[in-house]
Amino acid sequence: MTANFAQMQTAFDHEQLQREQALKNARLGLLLWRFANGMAFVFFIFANLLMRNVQPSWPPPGVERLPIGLPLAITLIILLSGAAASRVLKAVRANEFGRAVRFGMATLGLGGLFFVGLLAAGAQVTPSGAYSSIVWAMQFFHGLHVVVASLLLGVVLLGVGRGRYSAERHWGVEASVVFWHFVDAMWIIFFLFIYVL
Amino acid sequence: MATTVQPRTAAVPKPRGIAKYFAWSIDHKVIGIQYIGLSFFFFLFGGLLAELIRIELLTPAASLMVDGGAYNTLFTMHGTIMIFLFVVPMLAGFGNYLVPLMLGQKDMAFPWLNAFAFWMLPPAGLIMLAGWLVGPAQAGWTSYFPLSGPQFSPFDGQTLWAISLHLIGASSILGAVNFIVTILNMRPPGMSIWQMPLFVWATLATSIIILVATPFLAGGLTLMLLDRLAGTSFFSPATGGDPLLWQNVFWFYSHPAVYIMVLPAMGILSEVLSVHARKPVFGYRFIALSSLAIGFLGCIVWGHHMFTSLASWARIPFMLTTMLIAVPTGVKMFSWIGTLWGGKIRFTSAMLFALGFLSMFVLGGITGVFLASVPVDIHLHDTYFVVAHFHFVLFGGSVFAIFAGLYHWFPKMSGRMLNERLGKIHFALTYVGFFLTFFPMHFLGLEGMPRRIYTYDPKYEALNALSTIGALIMAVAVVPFLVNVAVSLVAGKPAGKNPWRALTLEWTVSSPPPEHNFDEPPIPASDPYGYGTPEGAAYLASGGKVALPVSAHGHAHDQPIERPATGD
Ligand code: HEM
Ligand SMILES: [Cu+2]
Repeated sequence: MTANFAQMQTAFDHEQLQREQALKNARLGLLLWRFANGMAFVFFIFANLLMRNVQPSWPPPGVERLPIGLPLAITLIILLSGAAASRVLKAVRANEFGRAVRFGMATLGLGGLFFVGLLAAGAQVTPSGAYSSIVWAMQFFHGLHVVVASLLLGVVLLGVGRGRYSAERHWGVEASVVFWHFVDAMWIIFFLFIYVL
Repeated sequence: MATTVQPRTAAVPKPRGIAKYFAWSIDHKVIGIQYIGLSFFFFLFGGLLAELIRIELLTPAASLMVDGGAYNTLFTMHGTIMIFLFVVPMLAGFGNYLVPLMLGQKDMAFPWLNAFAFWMLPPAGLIMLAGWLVGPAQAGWTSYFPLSGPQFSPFDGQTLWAISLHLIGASSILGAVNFIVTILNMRPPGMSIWQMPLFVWATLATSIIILVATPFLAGGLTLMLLDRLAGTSFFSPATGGDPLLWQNVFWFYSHPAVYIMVLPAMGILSEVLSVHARKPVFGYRFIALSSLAIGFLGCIVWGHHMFTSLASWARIPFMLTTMLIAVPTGVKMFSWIGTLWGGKIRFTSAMLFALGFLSMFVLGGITGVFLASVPVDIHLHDTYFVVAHFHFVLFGGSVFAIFAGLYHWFPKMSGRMLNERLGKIHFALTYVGFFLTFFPMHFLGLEGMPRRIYTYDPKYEALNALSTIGALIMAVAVVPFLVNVAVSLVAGKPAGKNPWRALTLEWTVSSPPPEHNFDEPPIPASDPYGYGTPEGAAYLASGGKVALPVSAHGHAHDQPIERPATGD
């Protein structure tokens, strides 16, 4: 009997250990992914800087500076969405799944609003060769990430609704929220390079 | 195609389960061999294109080609395929096969992702080849604007070229994430980071470079696709774009890519030299850390490809950083020579190819320092001197190391030894053919023969003929290799667990290893290169069961010269 129990205990410990290892791996994996993905954002900044470099001024002569009102508004929106996303994780960790879903919906809603705003900001740009090309490319690239992050979070929220996660085990929630924050942060940097600098 | 898992009870299974290499599998060993097989196919194909190039260049007049466009396609596809579909995935294949085994693990950290990353490559290869159906790419493997722009490359092959490289880049990034997590998080108890095999170190450094540099390739390709398909103007100066933008981002990736192609090769070299010379690796930490140093420096030298188009103030820093890379590279060279020094060298085929690497890579490295110097490069830029230089590092370096690795690990992967006599013939023909092909190109370049031309001034004819003869010898050289592989798979001498009496963990399991790799957690040797030391001898004698603690004065790595070379 005792031997049997000890065996069960080791098997349990083993499984526990494997799960911890898997979580550790997944966390590092996501960190590295954000690094590589971040380098792609750095690429667009690098391209932006090089393109300025061959122009006498930026925006180039004859091209108007883009209005900053709408971009500023969507920047605030995406910051809010980030705050809501943090609450999702907090709620799941406190076993409050209803709350998690509500904050999740808020996050997605704000993300959607941001996306619409981004489209509108893209429409404010008039075709002007190099300048409009890089601005559109940056907006497009960031918009793509918003879509992916929303899909991720959406799928995870469905899982939360179905009770797939617990306060102890919720890597999916953690990953989607972390990625959401990454996408927020990248927008702040892009905002600076597109509209401010 | 169904995956049939053969029960591996016999010591040497028949090579029957071939079908599993054509199907989805998440076993890192299957994936490793899938990478190796696919990229070897592309080596043969890229080699075929190279032979056509050389046959065209046998005489000064046009012979095979109806026009320059066909020739442009040949060197474009040759260069692109050799780099992106041969060397890069081949080395990833070695990494996939070896890293989990060397770390005593069952698999990579993310087995599914691993399979996914591999399966992006066959479509990438097909997309690249599909170029021939729609008008293939002709802008060179560097695809500079305006050559790659709509004006000079109106055909869709250039677009397919970019899409294909996009897939390969994504695959490479996913693979790199997997390697880094595996290496940092999954070392067995008893193996500190300073006891990892040097091949694992090299894979770690390579993966870091991939994460830093490959996103730039992806970005650059995205802009190229947007310019070609969506009418943006990133590269065209007519609409305010900057052609140097492409050059900058391409080389920000492609110079580091040189290290993606050579660091794992250097990792293979460290393993092979030490095992077959029965000597501890000299300067283990220097070799390990110089990979990181090379990786770091490699990311800040890209401008040396653009000396002729760069602002003059920017030339000097790029020249200096480039020359600095010679330091960590030299550290490695001297460490390898120190490893050989006083060793009991066994001239196996693996060792011969490794020695081939040492001799040829030195030459390629030296011409690299030449080219790093701005006034020299301005003169030699885009001549055959450059073609000679990069074949000495890519072929003389990476390819020689790949063959060294294939001879070294084939017994582990297949359970059978390769024939040594055929191996030596393969080596001799490759070595002579290689030298004859590429050494004369230095003189051609110095005399001013430009690269990427299909007809040339008759004064270059003699050296070009030599070069073509060399290329034909290399073509013949692959025959004994292919025969060797085919025959040995069926009738080779059974390899047993550890034919080379090596100390790294992949040699403590049967050949080929069982699906789960290790029946119980393996005990790593305290010094993975402790050849000729009492620790190493005890470890080998126990069949990898007993690892003695590290000797009191630290690792055996640091003072190998005084130690008499006693064989094992
Ligand atoms: C059979 C062996 C090989 C032969 C005979 C060969 C021959 C050549 C020749 C003659 C050229 C210059 C074409 C020109 O500029 O007109 C060339 C270009 C090139 N080769 Fe090879 N090569 C061989 C193997 C390799 C390998 C193994 C690699 C890489 C790992 C490689 C990478 C390249 C690259 C990147 C180019 C530049 C293509 C371009 O200009 O866009 N070659 N090769
Ligand atoms: Cu370079």
